[in-house]
Formats: sequence, structure tokens, C-alpha cells
Amino acid sequence: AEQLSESVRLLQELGNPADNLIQTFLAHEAVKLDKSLEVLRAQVHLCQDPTKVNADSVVLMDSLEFIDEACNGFVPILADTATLFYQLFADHQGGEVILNDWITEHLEEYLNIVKTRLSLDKEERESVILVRALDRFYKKLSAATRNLPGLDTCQASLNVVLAVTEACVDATAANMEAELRENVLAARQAIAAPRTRMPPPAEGAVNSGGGAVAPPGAATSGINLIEMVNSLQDQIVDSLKTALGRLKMFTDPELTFSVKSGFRSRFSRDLIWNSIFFKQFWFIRDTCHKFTGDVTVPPALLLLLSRTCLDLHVSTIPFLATYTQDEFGLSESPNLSKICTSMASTSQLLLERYVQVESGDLSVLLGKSVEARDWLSSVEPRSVRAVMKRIVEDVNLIDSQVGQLYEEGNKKPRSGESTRRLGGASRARSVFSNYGNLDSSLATNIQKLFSERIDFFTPVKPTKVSVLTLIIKLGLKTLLECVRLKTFSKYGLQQIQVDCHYLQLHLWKFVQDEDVVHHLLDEIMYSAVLRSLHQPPVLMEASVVEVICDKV
Amino acid sequence: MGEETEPSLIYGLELQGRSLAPITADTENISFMVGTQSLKSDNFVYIVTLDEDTGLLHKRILKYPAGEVWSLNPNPTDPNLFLSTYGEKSQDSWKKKAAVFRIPESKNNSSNDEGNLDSVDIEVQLDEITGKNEPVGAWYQPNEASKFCLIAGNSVNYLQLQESGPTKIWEAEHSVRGQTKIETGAWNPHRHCHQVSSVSGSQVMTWDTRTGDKAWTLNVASGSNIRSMDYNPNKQYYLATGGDDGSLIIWDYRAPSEPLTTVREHSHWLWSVRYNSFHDQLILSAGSDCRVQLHSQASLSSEPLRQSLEDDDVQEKILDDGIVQTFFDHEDSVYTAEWSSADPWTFASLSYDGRLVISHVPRSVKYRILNIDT
Repeated sequence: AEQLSESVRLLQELGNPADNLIQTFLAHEAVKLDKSLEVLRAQVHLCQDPTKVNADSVVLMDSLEFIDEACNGFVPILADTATLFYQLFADHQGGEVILNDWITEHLEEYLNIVKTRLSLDKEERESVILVRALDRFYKKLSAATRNLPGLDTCQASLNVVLAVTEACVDATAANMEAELRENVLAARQAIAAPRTRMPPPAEGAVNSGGGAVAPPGAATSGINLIEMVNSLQDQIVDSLKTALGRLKMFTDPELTFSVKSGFRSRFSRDLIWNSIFFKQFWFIRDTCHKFTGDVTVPPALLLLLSRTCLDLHVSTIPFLATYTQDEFGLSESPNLSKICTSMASTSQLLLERYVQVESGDLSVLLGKSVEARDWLSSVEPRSVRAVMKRIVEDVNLIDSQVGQLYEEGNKKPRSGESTRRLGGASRARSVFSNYGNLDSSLATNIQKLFSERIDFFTPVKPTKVSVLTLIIKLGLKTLLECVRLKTFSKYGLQQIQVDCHYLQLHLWKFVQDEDVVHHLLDEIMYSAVLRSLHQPPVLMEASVVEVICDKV
Repeated sequence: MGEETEPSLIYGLELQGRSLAPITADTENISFMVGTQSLKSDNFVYIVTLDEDTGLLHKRILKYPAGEVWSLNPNPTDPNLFLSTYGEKSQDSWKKKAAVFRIPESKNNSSNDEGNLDSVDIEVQLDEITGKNEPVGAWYQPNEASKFCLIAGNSVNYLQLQESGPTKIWEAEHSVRGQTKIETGAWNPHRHCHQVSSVSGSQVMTWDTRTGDKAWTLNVASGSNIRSMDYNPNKQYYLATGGDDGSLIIWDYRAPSEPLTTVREHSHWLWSVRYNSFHDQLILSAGSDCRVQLHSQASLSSEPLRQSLEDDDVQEKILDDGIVQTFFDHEDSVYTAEWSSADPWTFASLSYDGRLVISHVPRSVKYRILNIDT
């Protein structure tokens, strides 16, 4: 520096034009700057591609070491050059502008390099160092350029800090997304894994379904849905809390940049809320939503995700919003209505899809059983058809699965007059035995007077009875449609009679209003009667039907 | 609803029914034929005509002595002929059959009392063709009434009606694992009816009419059974299917792996899907959820846009896609809903309980499509 000043002064005395001198001086200094920038650039390349052949055996520096290198090289050079400049060319008009332009040009390059390098630190373990590196970078640059007139580097360097922070935030968000994907995949695999049928849970088993204990003999699927739901919830909460914990480092009051309002507001408003909090929940919602269109997904997963979304909507999101607010000392509460509403509707859609899939499976069973059989040459029925027993088993299974995750819901109280058995049988007797005498249209009208029209359109509610009712309604509707496509001999009709009675005995307890089951089965019988070759139809004696159904 | 719709006309047949068809050959009157399906009583075919001036329904009742009516398909050029499948009941057995029927000329008395009714008579029996297979349906070739497609069991037959009787031009088989028979069929009306399709399970298979070779296949990804299909009459390569999952799907059969759109507005099986032959933006669907839905799929129609009345340079949408109107007139499964072949804005629907409903496209939609400023 001594020599340099000396040379410049001599040249000045010799009468060299100031402009030339300035240019030469700056060019000379630029060489030093560029050398230091080269070192930094090499670090960036090494970091980007650590496998590349390293001719000069350069050692990779971590962020802090990198910034230290910059603060020992580039920054002081810049500062010293500026100081020297003002000493030598103090009275040159427009010198300030020239210097500032020159500084800005080189500074831009420096800032880009720093931004690129620090943005590469995506691992969680690097965050501690990253934060300190950012702080040092910001502090040193501010200090170096503070006294330079007409030059404000604060905004530019704060922008670099923000850009790097944003990269870190994005990496954190991506991690959370990857975690969620893994967790959902694990749940899906656990559900789909083959398992042996386990005995039903013991009487006193803790079960969010309340009183829904499967009848003896029925097998449960063995998957513990409530455990899986809780586990997924915990994973989501933990994932967010960890991410927030990591990012909290950026708000440490000891850091110089964190207290700047330009950083603070951007960090909390955009980065924490939008890039982390909302982004994650929208991602969860979108991931769940995709399953409504997936034809290969096991139905239990739909149920599980439906419950998850519901819980998120009702409690988890508001809870985590408050948590986030507290952790970062934010005064403004975020507007959760959009995401919550969307979660609620996704939960509903998943539940509807579950109903569609399960009722579809039942329908296929029922449909094939009617379609493939020759009803014209049936023998006198001795037993309930195997498929009916299978249907009841499947409904039991669905009931226990849904019962694990959703509350029971309200059932219409039974009329108190008779036991379950008797009530069913007397109903059967009253409707069917009169068919021989009644005109068909009269029979329909009377039937319609006493029963409510079956409605397939009320949206399913997140309760066990609502789900089961709709599934059973849709399944029985399919049976009705299939029966109408066939023609029955005397014994064919009686087989339907036996099967319907069996279903009546076993399905009433799952639904909201047992009249619905009675009504649908009545309609099925009525349609079967219409399709009977024998007119008037010859039905089996009710007592014989009872005996056959009892044998099961 | 805020829509100015003419109210639906309701007529109750005394018996169950699932077959309804527009009288295609009659392009002057809004008329439909409906068949009853009873194993207990005698069966009838009703020719129902809507008098546009008075708004009244004129009915001609004909006896159908052959049995219970399963399907009706009128001849495209002769209003007095139709193909029909029916269930023939005898002492201890029942057999499904198919035949060509003739409607006798109406005598001048317009009384509909039972003693005085005409009968439809079998003109050509089709037993020999169906053999042991159970007939599913028969459809006249739309541009050539002497030819028709008869589907029975898993076999698709293309036949010519001649003086000597029906002769088989070709026969093909469409069998799908898990299905006992073909569900339905449909003609591709484009390019001189060069293709005819059969539906089994979740698959549509299409045959080249000239040779009986397989032309192309299409599968519904979800595996849900298809109950009905209809080709877009004005836009080549496009067709619609309706299925057991209640969804209406529109396809371009040149790219059959991915449907163009799927609409799920029925909560049980979709039994019938029909394009409006004049304005293919409108599609009618009917299902076992007792609903009839009028859809617009204008964006996938032959005329999605047109010149705006106000500004010559602007292309405007004719209609938005979606449900135009839902009809709640039925209380039992609706197995067919058909457009009139005489009037683009009228259609009929039939539910199993014998309720026949004649309804109309909402006036505002009609004016919108016709580009009439109101």
C-alpha cells in the first residue's frame, strides 16, 4: 500500500490526468479482488460437485470457514482500496461516483458467490454453522462499507441473507414433504400386508368406536387403525415442530440481521407461514386428495386419511398455528379458514370414496351371485346361500374398521314392542303373505304409504352408523337391480326369500334406522315376486324360513 | 330453481316397464313407444304422442301378446316396424326371445278399452339366430333398415333381413372373464355406420361392420361395469359411457387409454346415456338412483364456441360444462331416458314402477343454444 501511494503521488505530480490514474489504480486493485474471488468460486464449485477431480487439492471449507476466507480476503481489500482512493483522489470531482460504481460491480459478483455457496447448505446439521456464517457475512460487510459515502450495502446484503434463508426454508419444507410421503407409504403397506385373522378385541378393549364389539366368531382385520391414525398425527406434528425448531435459529436476537425489520417481517410472514406452515398443510391435503382418484388404494387407507384430515381440520392445525405463533413471538394470527375448510372437504371426499369402494365390493359379490345362478331350475332351499353369510361377515369387518376411527352416531330407537327376532319375523309375515291377494299396484302404493322413500343422496356423515347405513343401502340397491333382471321359479323365489330374511336378521343393527333395511329388503322381495313365474307366487312358510336361518 | 321450464308431463302405466324408445321414423311428431314388463298380467306397448299445441298426451295402447317386453328398437324408416326382445312365459319355463314386430294400422276408433285393442304381431322370428343364447338386444343399422345387429349371450351378429328371412352376414364373439353375457350394444353412426360396438363388463369392443373384424377396444380403468353407451352423432370419434359407479365418461376412441372427462352425478348405476342428436352439447343420463340428469359437455361437442352476437371478433362459449338440470320426477329406478327424434328439446324417461315422464330442456338453455337474445 505504501509503494502504491508513493507511485500514484509521483504520477500525479508528473501531471498524469486523474482519470487515467484512477482507472489504472482501480484496475490494479481489481486484480487482487479477482484473485480472492477465484478462491471463493473454487469453493463453490467444489461444494456443488464434490466428486469432480480436484487438481489443486483444494480442501472444502464449511460455510463459516468460507465466510472467514472472504472476510480475510475480499472484504478488507475492498475496504482498503476505498480508503486509499479517498486519500489519493480526495479532491477529484465525480470520484465518489466512479469508486462506488466500481465497488458495486465487484460487490455484485461477491454477493452472488456468497449467495450461491451458502444456499448449498441444505442439511439440518449445517444450519447452526450457516446461521453464524450469515451473521458474520452481514456484520463484516456492513462494518467495512459503513463509512463510505453514497454507498449503502445494507439492503443488498440483507437480500442475500434472505435468499439463503429462503433456500434453507425450502429445503426444510422439502424434507417434511418427503417424510410425509414415507409415512403415508408405510401406513399403506401396513394396511395391505397379508395377515392372519385375529379374534375380536376383548370386551374391555379401549376403542374409539365405543360399543362396537364384533359378534363372536367374526374376525377383525387385525390392523389397528386407531394406532396408525395417532401415529400419523404425531409424525405430522413432530415433523413441523422439528422444522420450526431448526428455523428458530435464524431469529436468535444475537444475530445482527435477525433484528432488522426487513428480515424479520419477511421471515415470519412469508417464510415461516407461507413456505413452511401453509405449504406443508396444503401438501398434506393434496397428497390425501390424490387418493380419492386412485383405484388401487386399499379402502382402509382412505378411512385412515379421512380421519387424519378431519383431525387436522378440527384440532391439529389450530394447535400448531398457536404453537408457531408462540415459538416465534408473532403477534398476528394467520387466517386458517381456507386450509381448514379444504381439509374438511378432503376428509369428506375420502370418506365418500371409502363408501363407494366398500359398497362397490359388496355390490360385486351380490351381483355376481345373482347373475351367475340359474334361478329357473333351483331346488327347494335348505340353507342360506354362502354369499349372504359372506356379505354379513364383510359388513361386520367394515363396521369394526370404521368403529375404530369414528364415533357411533345416533340410531333411531327401536320400537319397544318385541324382541329383535320376533319383530323381524312379524314384519315379514305381514307384508309377504298378502301378496297373493293384493293387486300389484295396490300393494306398491300401500307399501309406499308406510315407508319413507330411500334417499341415496344425503352426504355421509363422519359417524359409524352413517357410513354403514349408506354402504348397506347401496349394496342392497344393487341386489334389487340384479333381482329385477332375473326370472324365478317357485324355489328360486323361496331362496331369495330365505336370503332376504337372513340379511334382515343380521343387517338391521348396523344402520341408523332399521326400517331402511326392512324397506329395502321388502322392495327386493317385492321385485322378486314380480319376477316370479308362478303367479300368484308361492312363498315359504315363515317358520320354516326361521329354522333355515337359525341353522347358520 | 329460477328456470322457466315447462312442467313435466307424467303418465302412469299400470305395470312395470323398462323399455322406451323414440319413434325414429316419425320426424313430425314427438312420439315414443313404451313396453310393459309383467309376468303376471298381459303386456302392452304404448305409442305415446305429445301434441305440441295442446300440451296433451295422446296414447295408443296395443296388446303385446308375445310376452313381457325387455327392449324396443324402432325401425329408422318405417314407423310401423320395430325390433324387440321379450320374455316368453310358458307353464313351467321362461325363455327370452327376439323378433321383428309390426304395428297394425290404426282403425278409426280411438278408444283404448281393452276389448278393442289392436295387437302387435311378430313379423319375423329371430329364434334361429339366437339359438341357445339369451338375446340381449337388437338394433337396426341407422342408415340401412334392412340390416341390424342382434346380440345374444356373448355373440354379436350382423344380419340382413330378406324376403326369405334373416341371414347372418357375420358373427363375432365378445366374452369377458367374469361376465355371463354382453350387456348392450350401439351403432357408430359415422361413415355409413362402418362400426358397431358391444359392451361387456367394463369393456367396449367395436367391430368393423363390413368384415366382422375387431376394430378397437376401450376399457374403463376402474373396472366398473358399463351399462350404456352412445356415440356422439355430430362429432366423429367421440362417445359416452355410463356405468355402475354412477359415472358418465366421455371418450375419444382414438386415444382410449385416457378418458376426456368423467362426471359422477349419480349415486347408483347409470342405466342410460344419450346424446341429443341435434345439439350434441346436451347429454341425458338416467340411473337407478331415480334421477334423470341433463348434462352439458359443450367443451367436448362439435360446436363449443360461436361468434358472439355483440362482437364479431369474439368467440364465446355456448354453454358451460356441468349439470344443466336434475329431474326429480321418478320414485323408482329409471332405466331409460330418450330424446325425441322430432323435437330437440323434448325427452321421455321411464322408471320401473311404470311412470313415464315427458320433460323439456329449460327454456333459457334452449335460447342460449339457438343464440336467441332474450
